[in-house]
Amino acid sequence: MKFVTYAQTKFELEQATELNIRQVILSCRELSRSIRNTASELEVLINYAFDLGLEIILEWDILVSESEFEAKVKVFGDINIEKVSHLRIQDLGVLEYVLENTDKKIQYIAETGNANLVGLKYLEEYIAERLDTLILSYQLPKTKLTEFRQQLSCKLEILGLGPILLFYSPRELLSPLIDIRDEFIEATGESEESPHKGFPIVQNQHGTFMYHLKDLCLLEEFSELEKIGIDYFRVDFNMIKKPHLLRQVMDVTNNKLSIKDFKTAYPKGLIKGYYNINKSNVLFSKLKNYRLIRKDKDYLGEVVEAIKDKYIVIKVKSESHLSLGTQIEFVTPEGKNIPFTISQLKSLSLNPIEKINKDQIVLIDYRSGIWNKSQVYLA
Amino acid sequence: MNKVPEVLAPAGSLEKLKVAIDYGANAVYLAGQQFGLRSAAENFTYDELKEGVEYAHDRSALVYVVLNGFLHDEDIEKLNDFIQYLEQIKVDAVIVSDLGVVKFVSDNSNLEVHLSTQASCLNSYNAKFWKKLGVTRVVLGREATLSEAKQIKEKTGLEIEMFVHGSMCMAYSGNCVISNFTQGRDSNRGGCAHSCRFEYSLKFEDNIEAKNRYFMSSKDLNGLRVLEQFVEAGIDSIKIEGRMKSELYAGTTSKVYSEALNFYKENGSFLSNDLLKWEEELSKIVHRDYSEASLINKADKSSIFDEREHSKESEYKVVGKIVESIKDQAIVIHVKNAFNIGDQVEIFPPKGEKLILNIDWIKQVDNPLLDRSKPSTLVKLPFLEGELENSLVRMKS
Repeated sequence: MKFVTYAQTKFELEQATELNIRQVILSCRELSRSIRNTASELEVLINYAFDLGLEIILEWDILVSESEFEAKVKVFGDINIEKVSHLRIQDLGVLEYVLENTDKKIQYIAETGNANLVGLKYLEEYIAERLDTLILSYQLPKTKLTEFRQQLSCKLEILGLGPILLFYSPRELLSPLIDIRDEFIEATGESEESPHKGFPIVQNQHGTFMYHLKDLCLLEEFSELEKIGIDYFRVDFNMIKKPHLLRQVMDVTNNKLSIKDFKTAYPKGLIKGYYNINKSNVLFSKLKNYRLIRKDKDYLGEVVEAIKDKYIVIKVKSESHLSLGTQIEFVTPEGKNIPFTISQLKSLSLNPIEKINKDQIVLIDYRSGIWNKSQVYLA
Repeated sequence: MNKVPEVLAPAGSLEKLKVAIDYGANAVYLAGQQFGLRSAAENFTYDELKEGVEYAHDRSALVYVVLNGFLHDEDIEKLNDFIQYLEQIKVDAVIVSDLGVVKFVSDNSNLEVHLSTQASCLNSYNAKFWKKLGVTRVVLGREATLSEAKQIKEKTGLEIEMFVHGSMCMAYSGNCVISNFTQGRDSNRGGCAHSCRFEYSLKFEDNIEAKNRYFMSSKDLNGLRVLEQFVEAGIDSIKIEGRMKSELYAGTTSKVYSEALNFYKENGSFLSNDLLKWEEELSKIVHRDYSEASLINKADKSSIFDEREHSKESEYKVVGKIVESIKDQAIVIHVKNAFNIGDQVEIFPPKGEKLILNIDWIKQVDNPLLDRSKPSTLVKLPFLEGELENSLVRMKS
């Protein structure tokens, strides 16, 4: 497994070379969410990286609106991409554009969603021989990474160490709070409604970005990832701005530095995210009372009112008829099953009736323990 | 007759579907028990889906089913039976955001596929990508302006759907995973915890602080005043957000937008004496402050709702729904919120003008008089002439 990292200075390019990292990601502020270099600074870095023999990945990871598209294409067109080996993009419109207008290899950022093989395989098929690498979601557990590796033929990259982007908005959300007119505004945020404190937030020309307070770190899983067959381990220091830590990253993987010492030196907390397991859908079952959801089989309707010792009102919601003598069963919101035989039916005008049909409302005898929203089934 | 967009309303349940269609929506969108983004919503069982489609089609309305979660492989394995069923009951389209799901549905059914706003399609190149996969309609990201939408439609020939009303994501839809990492709930599979509505305190450099701010909370969208631009842009469908919201919300928004577009269809303009009435109706449903967000210009700081959720009580509250009218005797109402003798309520029928009803008496269904109604009960109220069954009832808070 190889390392890939960002570079925003000549020092970082030199360091990458020295550490035998062959691929570097470069960009400029007009096309990138997190890189602050101007287009002319980017040009200098491209030339320098090329002279150092590095493979240059040009990243264009912002999402682009229709009205901005031409302006971004102009910025992109003004960059001399002859020395660039790969284009790294996320917006599928940008993908379409670069497929049509360049012959560069593509590294597609599939970090948002893209948690199934059907979609990833389609990307392989669609981008075809132009596809170099898929950058996979940082929410995939190792089981999925293993499965995807077995099923996909292109190179695969994951975020190995760096910031977890939580939120990307095109709106300027920090400048309304403060009298600063800088192009880049930074803050940390915390909410009493969340136990997590100190989310880094950045506003730039593309909008507002919020990150997890801790960075993702899979350094301890480096060997495992290598065995799985992940091709690239991305290290991203754009947020913490401490590029010299890259050397320590290499030392950890070369067993020259303990992970404990590395974590001590690292300026933020570190987590493994969903690497071991992703159970982010298990709480869904607690979001509503599933006993209130009807089962289709034998469904008759719902209790809309129960007046103690007097009557129960039912709304019939299915095609099944309800008539005198019908054996029914109530399922209460607490999950109790209560059998019942219809011995009396009255309309809302209190006239006795013998049977009722769908969408009608009827009164039946009272039975304790039955409440509003109890479901009614044919027994 | 002038061509106008369809009004596409939310249907969080079968009851809401019926309300939305009765009140004028041309189409509704809803979810089954899986694969959508509103796990907490009631959603539809298989039989309810079938009944909903029949109800809609009998009234010339369409039904779109959302499959808009970013699904994992294990979810997709369960999808085939569901889409076969949707095809069998003649659902008019599915709304999908995930690339794998679009591909799977295209390969395994003849269902029409609409791209969800969750896919953040914002430019014509992006729309062309989806068109190649068989998508026939794109629900643009809510960041797109109407003029951008017009260009995308012209360049791609795709049908374009845009949100016209309701709550807004502050992030690019699909690009927010706050819930995933802070609550352990996948926001893109139905578990959004609405962290953007929380109160935050922020620290900037030089120890500058901004305390107790709702800086990530968006005002609600209200596109009534710019409906003409929707028509001029050739937008095919205007969408109302809110599957989790009340029947009164579904009914009011469906009625207002369909009345406004019907007026345009006949008159070629929205210069109606009813415009203020429509605006007033929209003010009566629960909402945050309204904004036109990015419909005309990109949303700026005026689009931020820097206030506590529910800090403003709506001027009106839902009282309930008329379930039966007993000729010359009483109307029977299923009560949602309590009211008293002496109160005045508004009956808001699917068609026609609202009626005022003075609550001179309240009776329990078996006729004893009551001083006040209780929520989740049926009560009888003084009889009013008219086709009032299934009318919504509201009153000033």
